[in-house]
Amino acid sequence: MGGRCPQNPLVHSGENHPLGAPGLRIWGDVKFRADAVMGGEVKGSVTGTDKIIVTGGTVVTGAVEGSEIRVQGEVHGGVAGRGLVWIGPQAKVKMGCRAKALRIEPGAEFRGELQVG
Amino acid sequence: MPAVLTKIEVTCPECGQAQMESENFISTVCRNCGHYFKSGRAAQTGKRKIRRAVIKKRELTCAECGTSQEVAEEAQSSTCLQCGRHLELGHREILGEHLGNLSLEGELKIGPKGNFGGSRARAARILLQGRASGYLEAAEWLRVEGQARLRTGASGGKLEIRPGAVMEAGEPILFQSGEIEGELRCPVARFNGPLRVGPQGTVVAEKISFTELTVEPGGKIRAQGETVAGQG
Repeated sequence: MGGRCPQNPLVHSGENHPLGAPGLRIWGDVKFRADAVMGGEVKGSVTGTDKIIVTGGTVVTGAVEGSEIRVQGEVHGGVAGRGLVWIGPQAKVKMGCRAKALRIEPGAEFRGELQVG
Repeated sequence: MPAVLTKIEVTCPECGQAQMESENFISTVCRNCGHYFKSGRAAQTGKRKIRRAVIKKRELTCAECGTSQEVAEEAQSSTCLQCGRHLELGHREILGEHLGNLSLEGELKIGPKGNFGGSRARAARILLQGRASGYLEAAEWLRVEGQARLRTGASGGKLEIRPGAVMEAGEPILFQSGEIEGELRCPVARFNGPLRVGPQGTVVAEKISFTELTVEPGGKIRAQGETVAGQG
């Protein structure tokens, strides 16, 4: 599994690779090779080959890249999806979004460049 | 010699008092108790009620002050009871060149060869198939079919750009919501509600804002985007 950080606990490693816990902080980039659920705080970027879910309360200071992305937390470096990007009602995304299809729910905060399609 | 009036005796239905009245009397007042009563004949041949045709009405909201009033469905014009503005209720179609401003509560159609050359057109609904130099304000919706070029901007309720249609605006546009199935090009677009870009839709703007956004697979958007708080 990607996202290994020696100073931080690896909360769970399963098929969907949930990574995160309250108070978890990761300094550096995180890479997944499968569907992933990201929690905690990441001072870096999150990259995955498949679907990535950024859960509520999660803060990613860098970018999030994956095939399909669901954001419920905060992403400060923009999101780039090769498929659908979904930005939930409580989510905050800065810098921009690149995707094939996009849904920004009412209540979400988005600011940045839109490159969709 | 004056004609002799024949009198008849009538009895008050309230107190039973008898009194003399003209035989043609319609109604009278009892001289004993003051009760008002009608003759039997008057009661039988009472005024026939005239049935008036029901006038169908519709609600009309003044574009100037927002006051609502009821007007006959067939009415072609009215005056706002609040601000006194003249309200043209009919529809208008522009097939050629039209100079001068327009303000109607009905529908405005700018045909494929039509060109609205006035500085401002206001209508409840605007169907734009041709060109417009002036600002377009559509309280309910602005529907774009064909290749439409606006030298200035537009505003209103809902912006609908049909598949294959193109709207190019030279100045900012402001709508409550948007359904883009064709192409929209403008410097600034603000939607105080949802914006949907369909599978064949394209939006190119320097800046765009919305409360919620859906770009379906196949749809395209290139802009500096920002969410805005919805109007409650």
